[in-house]
Amino acid sequence: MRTRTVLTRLTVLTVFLLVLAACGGGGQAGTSAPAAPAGGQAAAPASGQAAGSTASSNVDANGKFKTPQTIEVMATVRSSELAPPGADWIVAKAVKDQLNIDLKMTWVTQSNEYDRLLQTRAAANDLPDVFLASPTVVSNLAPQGLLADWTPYLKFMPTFVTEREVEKLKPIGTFDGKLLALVTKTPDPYKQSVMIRKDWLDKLGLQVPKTLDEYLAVMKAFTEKDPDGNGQKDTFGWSAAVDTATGRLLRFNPIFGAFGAEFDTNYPWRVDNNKLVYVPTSNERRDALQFIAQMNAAGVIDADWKAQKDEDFRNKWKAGKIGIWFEDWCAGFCSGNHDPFAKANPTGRTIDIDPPVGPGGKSAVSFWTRLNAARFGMSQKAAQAGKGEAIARFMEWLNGPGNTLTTFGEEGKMWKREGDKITVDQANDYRIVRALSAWSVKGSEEELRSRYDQTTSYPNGENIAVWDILQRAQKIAKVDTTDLAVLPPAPSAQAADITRLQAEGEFQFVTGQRPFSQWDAYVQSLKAAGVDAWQQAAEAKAKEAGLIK
Amino acid sequence: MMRSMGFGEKAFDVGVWIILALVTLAVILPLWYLIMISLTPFEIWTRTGGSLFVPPAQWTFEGYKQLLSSARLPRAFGISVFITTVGTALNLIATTLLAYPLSKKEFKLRQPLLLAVLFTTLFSGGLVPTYLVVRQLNLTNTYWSLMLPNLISAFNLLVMKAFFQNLPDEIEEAARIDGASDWQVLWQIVLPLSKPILATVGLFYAVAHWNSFFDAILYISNTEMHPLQVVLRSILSAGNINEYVNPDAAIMPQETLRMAAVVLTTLPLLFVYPLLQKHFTAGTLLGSVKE
Repeated sequence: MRTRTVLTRLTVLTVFLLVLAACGGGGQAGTSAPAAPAGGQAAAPASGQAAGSTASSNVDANGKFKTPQTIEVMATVRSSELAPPGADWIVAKAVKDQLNIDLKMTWVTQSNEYDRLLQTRAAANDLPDVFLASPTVVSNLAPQGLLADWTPYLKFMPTFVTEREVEKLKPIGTFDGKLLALVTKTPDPYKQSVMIRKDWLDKLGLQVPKTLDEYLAVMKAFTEKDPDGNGQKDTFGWSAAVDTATGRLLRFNPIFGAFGAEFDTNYPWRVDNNKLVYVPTSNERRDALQFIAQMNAAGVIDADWKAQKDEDFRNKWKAGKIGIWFEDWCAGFCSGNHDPFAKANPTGRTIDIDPPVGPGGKSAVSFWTRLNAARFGMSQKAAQAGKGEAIARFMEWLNGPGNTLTTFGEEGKMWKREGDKITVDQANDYRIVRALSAWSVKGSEEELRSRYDQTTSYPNGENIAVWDILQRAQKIAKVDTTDLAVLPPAPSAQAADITRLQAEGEFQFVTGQRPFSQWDAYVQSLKAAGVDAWQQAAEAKAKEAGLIK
Repeated sequence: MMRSMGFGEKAFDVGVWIILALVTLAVILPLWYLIMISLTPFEIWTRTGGSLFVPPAQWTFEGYKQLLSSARLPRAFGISVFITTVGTALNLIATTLLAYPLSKKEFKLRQPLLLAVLFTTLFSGGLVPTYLVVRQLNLTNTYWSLMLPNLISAFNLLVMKAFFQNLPDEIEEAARIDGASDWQVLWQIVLPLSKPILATVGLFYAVAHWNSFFDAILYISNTEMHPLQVVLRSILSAGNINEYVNPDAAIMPQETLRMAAVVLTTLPLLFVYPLLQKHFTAGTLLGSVKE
């Protein structure tokens, strides 16, 4: 008997604990989940009116709210190796003082987990009030009714709207007539370039290559003629990597550009003779892949490229094993990044050059877009709670009165203006203060100079002026994909399949595992995997946006 | 008197030793290699790709210095230790309290409860429902959110139940004849005999807590409460996006740093293994009962 009573007690206790543990939570999940989309959609139409009518009476002449407001902002920190700002963050204090808004910051220190975190919170109808989201996440969230329409609030953020070109970019963030994502122009300059070892060119008596054929000849010389003079055949003409997440080929962009086959992975299209061409299955792409297969067969690409990550690629050129490579110019030339190269290569000289010109006269370093990669989103929940105006005024503040404070920190202490140049103190404590600067930077020349106007002399004799490189990169040939951003991303059910098929196929073609005689079969498999349906949707949208007739 | 071993037996033994030595080497070498890389300066690493024997004169502790110089690390370390110890203790208590009754055949609700447990091994609510439960219980931004979900792992529960079932009933009966209550039987007879399974299951739980990462960034938005793994990864991920790092900011020697991080995160658990090892040999019961 006693055994039984004790066992019963134990069971009751453990069942209770099991319920607490999420493994037994089927019932709770069933009751909570439907509330999310239903609640979001049902109240959607009411929010705009509510915000518009009650808005302005709540603020004084200086734009400060008469009653305290609270908004939750989710953002990644600018420098993730440092701690996010604490409770005494001067930016939050200024927002409180000037706007009477309590900023509730949710800092994400893991930028690669950001999307997953945001989507989990979205599925639980627990989105932060205002946040940045990738185009793909935006198009997932938009149909669920979880995002608020920004339109009624734009009047509270006039300088933001003008300076970030919001009006012009509106079509990209508009879904069913509602502005669900605030698309802004990018604050970053174009960052890519082709780099070459000038000391190797000089040693082998070669000229800077211009055409693809000249590039290939130089790559061969760099691979075979021991340009570093160490007596070992351990150098390569080119280096590349494979994307760990998707399996895509990385670092071949200028080669694709020379064939007119470079594309934006989010919008892999090109408008050609009033037609929307899906670039990955185009003949130009095939020709470019054939050229890369030729490079691979000639052994001029770094022997490890098929298995290496992007970091490994970077270590390779820093170690002085690579002759020509495609790289973010700041990752290549900004002082902190170039330092390891200068130390490991006492006679090394690196310069940036024009991308190769292909057989049809085409040339491009890579694609680029004038848009900020991430869009600002406001949750429908926040709009319903009447926070829309506070969010809009906060965004305006970031762009106006709070701009330099958020971007650089406290003037005089953390940064100084000397003539027309801003000098920024990079002490760690000051960098922590700038955690939200990704939201405030506008890309003005003053701002860019504070980051990139630096000339550094290295112990190996190199003297690198980053500002000059920046300016050359802005003028260099590239594929502008800004207009394509109105097109829909790959249908979410097929996106992963399309990416995988394409990545696998390209890898097999360039490594010789698959003969090019199978190209048509490959194109068909991609079409069947969902590219056909995607193309139809994209064409419809392209017509609507006037990209094609 | 011991019989001396024949040649065949000796050869067999030597073979076994050689195989075991090779297996041990296969385990130790990668670990040794990563310790060496964590001490190799970037310039040497890039030139040589690292080697198994880096002369001590070249060693650099830069990776460790960079990681440990962050003020966040000691606190994060303490938080991880807290979550691991308290969390594992709670896990063990809860798992024992469910596994023990389920190991008793005379317990009427045994079948339905076991089915309920088994169900969770096949079907899981997934991330979002779990998040909803945690949020609605107001556990977000508390350490409970890292300890209470998955308090009982169905797999560990079944392992423990099977162990309890294999304990001879006679021992418990003998204890009862001596007047022990149910609690006394559980705490004084069954659990002391179950150290091997407590150690094994405890280690499973401890490793899971020590490595907890995504649940921490999901449930805890107060970054001061983040455990070690989250802080270390945020330090490391900065190096991966170095085109966005301010030009003047020092770039860390990545490979060295990454390996140093691996060493720092693995070492504490590595020290726990030998301490628990003696319990893994489940021989305590051999010969204690004759049927």
